[in-house]
Amino acid sequence: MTYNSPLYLFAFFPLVLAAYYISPQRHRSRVLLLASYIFFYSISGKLLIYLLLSTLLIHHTGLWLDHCRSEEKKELAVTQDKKASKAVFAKKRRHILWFGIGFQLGILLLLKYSNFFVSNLNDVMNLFSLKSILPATHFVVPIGISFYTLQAVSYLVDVYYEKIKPDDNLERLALYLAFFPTLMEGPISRYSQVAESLYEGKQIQYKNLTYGLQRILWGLFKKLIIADRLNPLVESIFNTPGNYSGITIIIGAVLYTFQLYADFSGCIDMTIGAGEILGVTIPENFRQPFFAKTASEFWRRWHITLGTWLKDYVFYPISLTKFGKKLGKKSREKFGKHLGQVLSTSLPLFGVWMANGFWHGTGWHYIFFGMYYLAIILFENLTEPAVVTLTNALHINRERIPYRIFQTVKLLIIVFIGELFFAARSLSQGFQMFASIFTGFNWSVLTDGSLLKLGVSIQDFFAVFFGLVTLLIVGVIHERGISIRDRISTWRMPARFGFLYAAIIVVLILGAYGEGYLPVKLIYAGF
Amino acid sequence: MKINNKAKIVLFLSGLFILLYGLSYVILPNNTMDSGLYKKTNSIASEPENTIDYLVIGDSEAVSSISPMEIWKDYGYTGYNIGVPGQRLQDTYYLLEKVLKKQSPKIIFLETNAFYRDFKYLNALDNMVDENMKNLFPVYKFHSNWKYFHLNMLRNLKDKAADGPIVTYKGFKYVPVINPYKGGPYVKESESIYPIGDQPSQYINNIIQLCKDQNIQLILYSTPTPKNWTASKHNSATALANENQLKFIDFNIMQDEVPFDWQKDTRDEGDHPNYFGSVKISNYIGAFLAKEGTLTDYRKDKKYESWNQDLIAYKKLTKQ
Amino acid sequence: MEQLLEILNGINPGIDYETETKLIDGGLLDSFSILSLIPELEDAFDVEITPGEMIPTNFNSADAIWNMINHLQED
Repeated sequence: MTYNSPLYLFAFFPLVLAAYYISPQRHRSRVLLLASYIFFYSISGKLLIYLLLSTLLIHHTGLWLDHCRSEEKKELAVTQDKKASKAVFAKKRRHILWFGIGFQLGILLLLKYSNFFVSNLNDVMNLFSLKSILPATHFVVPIGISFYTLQAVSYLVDVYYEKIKPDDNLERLALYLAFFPTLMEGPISRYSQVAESLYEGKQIQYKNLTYGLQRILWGLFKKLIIADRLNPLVESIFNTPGNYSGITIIIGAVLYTFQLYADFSGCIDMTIGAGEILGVTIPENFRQPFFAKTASEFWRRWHITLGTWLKDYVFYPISLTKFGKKLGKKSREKFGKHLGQVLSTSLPLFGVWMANGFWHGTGWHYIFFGMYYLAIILFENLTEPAVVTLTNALHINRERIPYRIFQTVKLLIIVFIGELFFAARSLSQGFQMFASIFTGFNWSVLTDGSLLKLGVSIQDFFAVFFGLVTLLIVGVIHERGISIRDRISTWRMPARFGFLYAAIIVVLILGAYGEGYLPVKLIYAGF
Repeated sequence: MKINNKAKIVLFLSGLFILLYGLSYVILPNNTMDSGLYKKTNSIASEPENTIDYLVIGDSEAVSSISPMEIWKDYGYTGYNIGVPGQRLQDTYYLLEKVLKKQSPKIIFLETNAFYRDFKYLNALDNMVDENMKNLFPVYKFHSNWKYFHLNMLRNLKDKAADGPIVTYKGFKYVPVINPYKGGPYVKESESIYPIGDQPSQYINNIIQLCKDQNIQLILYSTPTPKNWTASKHNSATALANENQLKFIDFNIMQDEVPFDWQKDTRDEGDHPNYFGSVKISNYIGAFLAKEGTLTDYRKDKKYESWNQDLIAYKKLTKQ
Repeated sequence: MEQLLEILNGINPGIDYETETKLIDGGLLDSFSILSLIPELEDAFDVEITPGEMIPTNFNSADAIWNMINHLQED
């Protein structure tokens, strides 16, 4: 049962809403928790045990950290040697934290990554002409474990640093960790952002209901009209890249990027919409990423919650280690303010982009993807003053349209190349595809009709084009800070109804689903 | 929520219902209110009585493996593929029962994949919701017709008899997409036997009985599919075939006679054959039928002229 | 406080630190500037800033930073 399946859309979700609506407020969070476990069970079956056990463990570890802290306070009130006892407790708390994180990450590593290590180890052993002895095992991975683990870690670390109080209410914590709309693809929310309002069981408000349903419809629009309709083409190109070259590969990379955006952000729209109905503000995950000026700004607009997670739990912790601080100071003294700053951030940024690549999965192309962005962002940071000087010398206004177009085109090329490697099945395949853009370049594919042999007909292209243009228009409106739904709500009822009817019918008719279409999995649920 | 707002919701939903319901009738060409399950009976229903000499039944492995037109082309035997993707055996049985009221085939090929279909409650539930929505709002089911809207109107103007590709394919699903299977050899020997569940088992027996009653030769066959095939499944089908004195053709272990190229012959990484794979299977089945010698070659028969017409269309559609 | 303002101006001049209350939320200080700020604060006020302090509300204004420093000095 995924968010775009008939069972979810027409039965499960409406039934959960109905049960939520008729339940007394104090039971509403239980309705959601139960629904979440049913949802999890429907996808991952008995692995529900894993979710239950690790929820218990996270709950316990949080309380344990807090207990340790209050012990410390008691001790500090009586002891003479405050410094020594502080150190003892700090160490103990650190151990508890690492125990909690270690368990979560350990399971993630075991289930998701053991195969990667084993097969690479076997490759190395083959190099020395030893027989590969380690068996490669495929584990069944619980749904959403990559997202879930990050939330669990953020909770524990926040408790450790006393940003939040640990939750003594097991149900509230369990709901935060398992809330079904966020289970498959995030967004990676923080305990402090959502737990309270999730647990509260707010009454469903008319405005929330209409706004939420509109948001869900918008998500379906992206998923069904753009992402799913492009799927056969993207699959053909990336499954048999050897058959294609030149422009076809470029088209593949470009359309994959749009597919990924429509698929992932569409799913997030459905998630945030579901949250809105229940009166829960789930953090946004995308903010018109293709309007960014630089690669680092792109990543502040694309998969935002992963970016901020990495900033808070990888970037800062690495920069603020003793070594990180020393490195920062030394490099600033030695290389001056700007260069020193860039150099000192390179170590934590390396950590961030390693983690980003690795988080997406076990393949060298993901690691390459991370390192690719690391290199680009370091380069951007390094050349920033030079760009300012240069553009000023040439009297180029960096806010004017020609320069903005230049920036957008440059950014899009960076993103498309990145996604080409990201979507490739392996690193060597990525390089082959990239090389074949130049070796097999041929304008004739645009006119000889071979593009229509990739499982996407001319009608499909029109539907996708319509979808993308709509996406662009909506993006421009959002970029100007206008809320479309606020505008709609000021219209008179017939206009409002008419608009929504039209939107529903467009999704219903132009959506790629039903007979003749294979259901397309949510892309990010696989990460 | 104020009463006022509740009224708005009711109003909105009733408007939506009327709109969707109306739309289902207005904009969709060839609206035949058939439900998903018996869609195939409706398309085979357009064949004249007692003209189909063999049938292919089963799930998606059946639909995508045998193309009756390929066999007509070389041997002139009339057959129909009434496989339905994801079909469970009880539905196969009821569908067959219905078809046999109008057709009297001499041979039936039953694909074995559905023998081992777990009854997944969730999938059944998902299907049920989906089917109900389709019945409630045909627009939900036929929505993709916008693609052919123009085409159909044109065709209807020129030629009233044309009825879309489904007749041309005689039930076969034409998919020329290639997604290679890269897993390497998958056929291994084994002693173990995959137990066939109670429910499928009962309906297999029903189908066997039905064929016996009507004097039809039932033949089991397994489509080559690395994704689904295991030695233990092969063993249990073999046992079942022996028990009931049925012929069993397992293409998975016939790499010498029907060499499958896994780089080209599958549409979804070894789950189903694509068109190119199906040609190989159909050729073998055609030759097999010729050897059996129970069917008649109707290619020169005036009564079957429409088949030759369909073949021309089929060749065009499959770019032969 | 004087010393703090001096440090802030050294890191990123051209901002009115005495009145600005959205240094982070308004995007005036990015994470790189914050990272250069921290060692300076640590040296000047003899405190240790941990990842736990890295929340926007601690850095949104000079007052907020000042409060954080005082808070850390008490510990």
